[in-house]
Amino acid sequence: MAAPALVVQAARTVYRSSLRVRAGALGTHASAMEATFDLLLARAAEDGTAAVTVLVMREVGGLVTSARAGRTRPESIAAAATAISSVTSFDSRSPLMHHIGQDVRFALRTFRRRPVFTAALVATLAVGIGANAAIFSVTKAVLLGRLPFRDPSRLVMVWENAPAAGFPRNTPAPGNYADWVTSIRSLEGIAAIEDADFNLTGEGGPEKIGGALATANLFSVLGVQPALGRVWRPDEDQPGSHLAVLNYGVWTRRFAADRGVIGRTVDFSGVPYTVIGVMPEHFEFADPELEVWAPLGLTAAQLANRGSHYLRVVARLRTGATVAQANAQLSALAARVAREHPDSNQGVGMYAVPLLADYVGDTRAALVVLLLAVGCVLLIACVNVANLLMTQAAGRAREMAVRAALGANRRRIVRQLLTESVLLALVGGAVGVLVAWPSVRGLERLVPPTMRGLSHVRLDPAILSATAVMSAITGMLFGIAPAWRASRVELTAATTHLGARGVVGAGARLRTGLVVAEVALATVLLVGAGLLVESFRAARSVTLGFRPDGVLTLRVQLPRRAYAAPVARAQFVDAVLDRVRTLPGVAAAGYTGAVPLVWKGGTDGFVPEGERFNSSLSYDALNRVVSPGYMETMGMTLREGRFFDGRDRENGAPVGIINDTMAREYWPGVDPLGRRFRYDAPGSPWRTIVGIVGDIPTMGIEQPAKAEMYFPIAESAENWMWPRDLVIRALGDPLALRSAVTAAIWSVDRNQPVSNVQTMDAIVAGELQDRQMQTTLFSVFAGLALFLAAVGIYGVLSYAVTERTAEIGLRLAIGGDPRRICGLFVRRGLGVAGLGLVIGIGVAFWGTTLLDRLLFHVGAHDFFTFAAQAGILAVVCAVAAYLPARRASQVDPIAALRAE
Amino acid sequence: MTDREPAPPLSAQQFQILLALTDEDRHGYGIILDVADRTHGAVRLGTGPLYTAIGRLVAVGLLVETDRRDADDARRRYYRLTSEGRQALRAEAARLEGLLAQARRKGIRAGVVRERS
Repeated sequence: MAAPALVVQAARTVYRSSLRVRAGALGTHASAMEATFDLLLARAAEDGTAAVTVLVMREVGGLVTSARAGRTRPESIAAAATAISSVTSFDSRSPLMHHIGQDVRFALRTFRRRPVFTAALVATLAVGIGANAAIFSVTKAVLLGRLPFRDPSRLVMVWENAPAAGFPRNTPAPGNYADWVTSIRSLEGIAAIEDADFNLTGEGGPEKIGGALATANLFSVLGVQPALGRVWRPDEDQPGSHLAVLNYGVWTRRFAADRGVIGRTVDFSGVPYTVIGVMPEHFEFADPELEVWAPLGLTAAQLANRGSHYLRVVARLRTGATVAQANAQLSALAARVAREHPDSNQGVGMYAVPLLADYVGDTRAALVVLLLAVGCVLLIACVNVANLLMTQAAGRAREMAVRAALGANRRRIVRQLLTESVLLALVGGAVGVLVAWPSVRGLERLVPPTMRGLSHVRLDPAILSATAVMSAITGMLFGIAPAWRASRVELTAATTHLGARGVVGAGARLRTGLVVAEVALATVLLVGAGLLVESFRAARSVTLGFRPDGVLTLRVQLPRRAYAAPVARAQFVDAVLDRVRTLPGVAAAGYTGAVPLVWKGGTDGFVPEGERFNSSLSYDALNRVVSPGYMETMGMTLREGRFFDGRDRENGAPVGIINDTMAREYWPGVDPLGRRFRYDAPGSPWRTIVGIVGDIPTMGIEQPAKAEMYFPIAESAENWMWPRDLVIRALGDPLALRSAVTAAIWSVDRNQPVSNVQTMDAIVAGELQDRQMQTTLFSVFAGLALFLAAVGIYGVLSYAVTERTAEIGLRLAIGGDPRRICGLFVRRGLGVAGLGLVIGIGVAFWGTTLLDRLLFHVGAHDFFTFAAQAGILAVVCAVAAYLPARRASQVDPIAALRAE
Repeated sequence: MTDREPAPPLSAQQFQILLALTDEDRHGYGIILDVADRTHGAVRLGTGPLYTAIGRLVAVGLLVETDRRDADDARRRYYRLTSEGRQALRAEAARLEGLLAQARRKGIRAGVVRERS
């Protein structure tokens, strides 16, 4: 596969920069070399990114070494010679550039002398920087995403807040919307939409197309123009005004992007609509699935209704107005309306949220937490690299001394060392980006569904330059301590063997301090990951109240006009169920208004007969119409009474089934079975409760259960909820039934589109997907942190063992117990880890409160999690300490003493 | 630093570069391809070593840069072998032949490695 253009461009840039740095003797050939490189690059690009990477590494390496080709001196002499040349030669033309060039060249040479060491540093940095680049790219796509509307920062969504009914973000009622239009001064345009389905028949088979009915000002509030034709005028926003505006996607998919579609009549759900416009390619609002727009035409009666909550409202802030001002006005209005209409608006709040924040929702909290986590991983990587550089400083003490002796001042030495670390970080960053590249696509799942069509996660130039800057800062961060230490070379001491040791000894305390910091950071991440894993486990083990395995669901949205008669709906449902139940591989089937978890709403008021009114209750319950057999098919639990059956026909006695929560809240202390309640709609009869079923998490797996009432489809003529979702319990693979079931539905009515074909398992998994992704990412970062911290402990102890080999040898020679020596080092390692752990637990105790919004059924200070994660960390640290400690106990006394 | 007289021995790279230019003038990429071709990919010159060597060979007069310019990329430079270059090449080939003959007399043959364990 050919390498992406961005990679090719990056390769060219890297080569040119290296060439410029290297210039000198090759200066006259620079442009010819670039031309040659371009040809090499073009060929490598055809073979893919890996080939380009190899080419760049080879070429840049070649540039560095070519000048020295043919010289073969002992390494130490070469190092001293280059050290001398880098402090003595002075180019008067451009001293700074020249010096930086020299520093870079010298650094590259240093790396080539220690390839394994350098690779370890680069790998550590690549992990830290790559993880940051990946999470940055998601953050940019989500939090800094630009919505495709005019001046999008002035757009807000306006919601009702009905906490008592369990809807903190409720779709507004038209009556309240009407008040907003007249009373909220800081909003200059307020538009409303209502979701609607447009069933399209004809060529290509019937298809359910999502859409919305909207007020005429929707497009002007959003500030978008149609690409073709026009949108409807305010005077056309009337009931029965059948005009349609298409989204670009449906226009190309179903109308072959035919410009002649304007003015054509199209049959949507049995109603002829005139197409008047097509929206531009990237237009989408509220939900990517809304693809057809038609006039909402709210009637005066509807505009007075405050009981049915089904609109979504978007508004534009007046110039100079703020969200806070709008919210103050909305609160005042809510209080006033609550006084005037207590029965509908008691306890109903109103508020506006910036559109982007509304789209992003809870993802913001998750992203902030993930950003902090990757930040910690990078910090730990920095600490590790700093530590490794410092252990290396011992070996370079003499080199520094030579340089100092030759007149390099301290600033010059620090600069040289910082150049090395920044260069390391830049290479680490480049490798990190290459590693992050393939993973970024997978992170697309972190983007909230509302934004998937608008914002894409990718490593664009902005992310790449941010990563480069981050790498440079990283380099400074981990380079400054070692550079500062190394530059404090005591001349006379360092040039002797003993002196080199002295420098190392003094650095030991700083290195130990850094490892303590690493362990502390790793502890914080581990505890956080532990809490998220516990939450995920809790969410997964929520009692569903139904058995999702083996259940297939399909949706048929019956058209309002053709199926206006309730009896027609009931007949359709019966006929479909009759045919589906006889299919081979089908164990059971049923029909419902909405399967669990796909519609987290659809509630109505109700009145229990003869019960004392309790003002702390909302008298609002989820409203579902279901067929006989539905509850059995889903595997719901019957607590008392019976499920619906053949008795519940259109002329049967009015009945209903309620869930546990409804029974407990509204009939406290009595058995509701046989008692009556009334669904709050005109003409709705008193219904006898014939069954009580276990709760199912209709509102979401992590939401508390809500009162839910079920009615037989056949006796729900007055109910606005229509049968819509078919559920089938399969004997084998549920998805294998797909075509047979579709055929059965079409044998009843050929014009009905079948959509939303999925297994109940997939619906449940989808519900947990965000949490799973967040937990997985956070755990990976915590694992990296743990690994790096362990490497840190290993490195420090390993170095201490090497440093004290002679002493250990002597102890062993005079009869010291190897096990005690091993124990000595393990204890030292555990001491360091223990200190880090204690500090980490303290920080975590404060830090996990940031996670609060992401936790489920586990406290931010859960003792078990803290203890378990501390245990894991202690074990890993003990292993990391044991390995070098064992080496200490196995020192050969003779060899150790002879070396001295 | 003054350049030494590049009297033989030529480095392996220099030899390959001169050899690439015996039949026609080539630009850098052409030299790389020709060398890779003849050595079945065993010798792959990078731009750094290539132009370092070219610089040196031009400095001592074994190569010259021509005035030829390509329409599709004016940055390309073509190099031509000078008569001194051809002479140096011949001398180096003779020297290598001599070395080869010495090796053969000692029983070293390509592809046959006899070793006693």
